Amino acid sequence: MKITHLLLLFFLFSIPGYSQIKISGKITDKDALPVVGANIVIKGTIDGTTADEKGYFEFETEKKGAHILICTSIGFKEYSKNINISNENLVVNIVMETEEYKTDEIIVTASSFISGENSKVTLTPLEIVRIPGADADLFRAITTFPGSNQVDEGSRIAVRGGDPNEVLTFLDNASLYNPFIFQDAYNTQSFSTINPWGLRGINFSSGGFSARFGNVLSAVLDLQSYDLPSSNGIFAFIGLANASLQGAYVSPDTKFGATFATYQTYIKPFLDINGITEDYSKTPTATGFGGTLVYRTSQTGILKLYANYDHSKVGIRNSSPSYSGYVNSEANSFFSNLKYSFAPTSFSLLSINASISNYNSISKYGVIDNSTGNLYSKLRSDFSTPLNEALDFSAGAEFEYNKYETIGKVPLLFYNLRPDAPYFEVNSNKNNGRIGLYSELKSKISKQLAIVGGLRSDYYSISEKVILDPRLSLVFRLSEHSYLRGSAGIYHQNPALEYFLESGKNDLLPEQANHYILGYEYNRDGDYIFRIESYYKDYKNLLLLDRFFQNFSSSGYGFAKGIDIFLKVRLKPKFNGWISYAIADSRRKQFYATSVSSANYDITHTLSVVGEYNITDRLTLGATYKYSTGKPFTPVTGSIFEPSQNVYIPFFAEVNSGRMPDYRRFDMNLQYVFSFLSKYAVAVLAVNNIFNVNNVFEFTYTPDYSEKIGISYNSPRIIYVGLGLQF
Amino acid sequence: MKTKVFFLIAVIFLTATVLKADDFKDAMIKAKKNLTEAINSMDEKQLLKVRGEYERILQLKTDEWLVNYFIAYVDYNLAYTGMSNGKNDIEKMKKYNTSAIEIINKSIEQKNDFSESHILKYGLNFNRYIYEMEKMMEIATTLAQLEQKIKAIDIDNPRFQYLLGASTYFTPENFGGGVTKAIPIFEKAVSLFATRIEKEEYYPDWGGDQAYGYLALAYKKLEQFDKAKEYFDKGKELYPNSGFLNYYIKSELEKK
Repeated sequence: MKITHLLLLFFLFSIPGYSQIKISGKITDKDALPVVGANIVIKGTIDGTTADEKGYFEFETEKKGAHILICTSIGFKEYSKNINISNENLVVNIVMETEEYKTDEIIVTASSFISGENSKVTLTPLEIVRIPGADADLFRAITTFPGSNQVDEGSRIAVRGGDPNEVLTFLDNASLYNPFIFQDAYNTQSFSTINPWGLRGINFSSGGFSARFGNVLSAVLDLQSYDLPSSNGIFAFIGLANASLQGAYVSPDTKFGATFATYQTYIKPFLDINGITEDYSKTPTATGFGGTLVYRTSQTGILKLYANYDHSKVGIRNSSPSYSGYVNSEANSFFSNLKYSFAPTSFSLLSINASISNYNSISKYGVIDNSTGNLYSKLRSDFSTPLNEALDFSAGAEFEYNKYETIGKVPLLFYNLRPDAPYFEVNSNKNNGRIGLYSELKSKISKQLAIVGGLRSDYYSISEKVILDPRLSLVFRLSEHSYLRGSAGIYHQNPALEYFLESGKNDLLPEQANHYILGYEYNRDGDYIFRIESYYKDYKNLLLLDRFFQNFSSSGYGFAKGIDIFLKVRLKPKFNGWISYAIADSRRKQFYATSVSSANYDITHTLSVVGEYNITDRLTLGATYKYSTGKPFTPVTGSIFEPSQNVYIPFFAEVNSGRMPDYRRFDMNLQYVFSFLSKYAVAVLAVNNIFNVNNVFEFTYTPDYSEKIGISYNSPRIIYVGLGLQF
Repeated sequence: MKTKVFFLIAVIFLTATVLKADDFKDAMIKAKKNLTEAINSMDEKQLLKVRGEYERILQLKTDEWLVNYFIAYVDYNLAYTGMSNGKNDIEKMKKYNTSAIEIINKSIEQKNDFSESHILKYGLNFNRYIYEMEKMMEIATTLAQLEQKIKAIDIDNPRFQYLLGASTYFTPENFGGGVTKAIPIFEKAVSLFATRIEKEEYYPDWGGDQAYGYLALAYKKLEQFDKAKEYFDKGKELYPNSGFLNYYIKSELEKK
């Protein structure tokens, strides 16, 4: 009987009721505009509807009592409201709030220029390759950003008044030293050996960078190469001065991949066409080859070997006050990195690297006959994991061994370089071991505010010094597209080992820079970017010549301050361009200075204007204009004849008290994509320095120093053509 | 007595479960019917209504991975409303395609071995070329990885073959694509559509009319007009209500 009652009760509750209640209303945003297509539903049921084009909705339900009404629409926060459904129709008007932007897109680090997968990238690899005058060279492209300057017409860069050796290149967590050819060659443009197409991420930071990076004072170029190639293929390029071949293979199961790249320069046709009449004993040549082997060991595990070798040689006539002859130089560089990375848990990532960077060069000029070698080998491990939704943790350790050696003949008197001049023989070496540890916490405090706090410590075996570098960066999101960023931190870099050799002692301190940066950025999906940033850098422990002991000490100091401005506009699909301007004041009491004076790369004004216009889908025209204040130099004020040597001895003014003439250059290029023998092909025509401006980078003097002679790079105007073909 | 009470509770529980399952199945069938109609008419308002229907079905907490799949698929179609009839609303394409990728990722997290989700993700990532050309390398890598994944779990899925055909069709010959290479892939797709039987009435079954439509377009480009008409007619016979065939393909074929 009881069961019958229960069954009756159950079926009574199960039979649908017919007393339906109507729920209606209007859904708008905070500006009272209708939210068309918003979905409204009673939680836990399918009773609901969709708002019409005026935002109105209406539906019926048989539910009674307390319920929750939910409203959703793309681009809006989910709205929920408690309602009580009785026997009367309900009217509910809803105002929806726009969804907050996602904090994971925030780039916290100040002074960063990023390319790659992030939606807020500053430049894409394609843009880098296309910059007129940059010759598809990553480093030259970077000099179109504010705060970075070309050292000369070549690829080496100086950042915010610092020296070029204060910039570290980091490739897949390995330190890559000397990534250039013709780096030490006299009056010959250097070129970067890094292929921008092989990079999936480029992050150039001109200051305030993460605690991940140690032993670097000014700037970091952090590069990530592709793990596995996306497809098979070969790309060949032939130009007026060089030819290259690149290829990629990926196995059908995408477990194994390999790439290779090789190039050869042959400058003769380029020199002839451009009317360059330099007197060469060895026409500049360079050869390089390298590649990657990648094996996917598991779902998350990647084992990757990267190796690259470059060789370059050049002999060029030079006239110094005491001797005229050929400067012959030759250089070899080898870089290899073995990296294993995997995810120990579904959220964390661990990577282990073993890398070698070796650079040897030989220089011969008059009495100089010297070879140097710089070897860096490094073991490094990095770990990162999110601790919770708002907190990411990363930590790492590295051991780096550096050996510097120099062998040969060095002039005894700097003013006499003739082959029969007095000299002393050197055969010395120095080495240093560095152990570095770091940890970093990234905290998303709110949807507007994120902070990165890091601490790193390095131990230098040569000086037995331990340093501690705390660093802090924060970003405050002012609106969907605008940010306020700030950074402060301490940075150290050991002096190059050659200075330990020169000073004859091991107690030189790591040089120190304290960075303080504050900036504002407006970035609308990379299409419109405006950035203004101010910085101040305070230097300590810089190398300075001790006048009494005539060797280097760590008592130098200085500062750099300035403002960088960057404006980029991308009007898809036709136009892309940017303007960079930097004003800087960098002064140091360093090396041979007797007072605080302009630093070697104290460039007061720097301006770059870059524009690219797609005339058709296949034809792109680009132009770049660059201007910068002349670099400081140390003038000669007079000389005295020294009869025993039969040479003049120069007298110098205060260090860096003179200025080179201002630098101006206007470059254009034209790129045409077409089909050639049924293959993808690209043709390039580039004209650098169209207005034939004679930019002077250095001064030499007549034998008695009575007349100053400007040295500029071979022919000012350069024409270049090339053809690329994909197989 | 205890046995009877237990039996009664079991009956009540089972009845409730079956009723809930029926609610879900009925709602899914109804939503899919509405979705097909909305796609055939390419009506943005209708598509938004169907999106709402699927969102409401999520409240039943049953097979959420499948419901999310369909919400992503609705967004996939909504994205195209920004590009149809000569419109070039890149922002709209980006808005809905981005939402669809987010939701399909959620669906894959909920059920990783449902090949249709990976196939839809492939199509969505291919769409990114329209508004994120600068990320060409990253997109190509993602597509290559998805292709491998799909080949491993459901190589004979007709929708995968259709999307492969479409990506080949729109890739320039210089980059390894082109009409000639796309045709055999589309032909494989239509042969697979002919024998494919979906597990449930409310499971994904889209793509057949598109495969026929693109075959007709491809043959028209090769100036093989009889073949083009043959595939168009066959498509019309199998999918008489297809808006894609009736409006887009028909007008493209009529162009000189």
